[in-house]
Amino acid sequence: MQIGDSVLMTEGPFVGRIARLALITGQRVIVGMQVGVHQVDVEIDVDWVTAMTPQRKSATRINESAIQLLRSDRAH
Amino acid sequence: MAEDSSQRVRIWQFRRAPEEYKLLFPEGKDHDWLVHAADSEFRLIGPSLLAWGRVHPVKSITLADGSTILWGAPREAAASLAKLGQIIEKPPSGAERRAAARVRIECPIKYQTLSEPKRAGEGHSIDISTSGICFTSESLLPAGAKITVCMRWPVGLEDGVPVELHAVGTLVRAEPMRAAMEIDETKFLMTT
Repeated sequence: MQIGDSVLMTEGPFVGRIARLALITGQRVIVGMQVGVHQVDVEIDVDWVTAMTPQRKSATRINESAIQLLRSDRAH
Repeated sequence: MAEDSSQRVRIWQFRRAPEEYKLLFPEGKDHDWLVHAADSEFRLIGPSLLAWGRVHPVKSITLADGSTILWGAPREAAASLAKLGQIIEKPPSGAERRAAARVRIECPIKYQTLSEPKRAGEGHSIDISTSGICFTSESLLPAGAKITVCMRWPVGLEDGVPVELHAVGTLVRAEPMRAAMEIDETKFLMTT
């Protein structure tokens, strides 16, 4: 993942939300999430986000199935 | 991006959260989540977080500085269903009470085994607990196989957004038209 990448939150209360990666600090990342007209900075564990690129392998099986579902939903 | 970390919304898996926050929620378990949000951020994101309270337990505590700590327990969603479905197995008394409640409730599901030969199909739930799901299947599934089940949850968020339970686990019982899985991982996803 690189700064500026779109990332998908795969765990936690914002699961399924897309945000922009702003900073990586060890095991934590900060992402910018759009809430209406506002942007909110969210600090979260690095393994609770995944890059929105097809090459990225997710950490768990459930993440893979969730991402596939989200992608298929958004394709329709 | 806010330089001051107090202006960020901070999210942790419960077991990784600061101890002083964990102590506020003695019912918290390792896989639950905790969120800390300053007052200004909580006004923006609070409603969407509290909306999960229709699906699984969510609690919030306002701290002396005006910030808010929220706790959520997605794994306890099955226990929250007790008011909608028929409880078919009463939870035992004691520490494991929350983990054992089993509720009869019929919701559409899709399933797919994760090992070869892969089997996929649709059906509906028969009953659900925090540790397992019993469901109808289109064929005899291989007992012992890893399986993923997506279940349309009977309760949506406050604004009508439907949610779906995604569960990964192991088939512990298989009959020609029904199967039961033990859950290893779960998560809820908004389906719109």
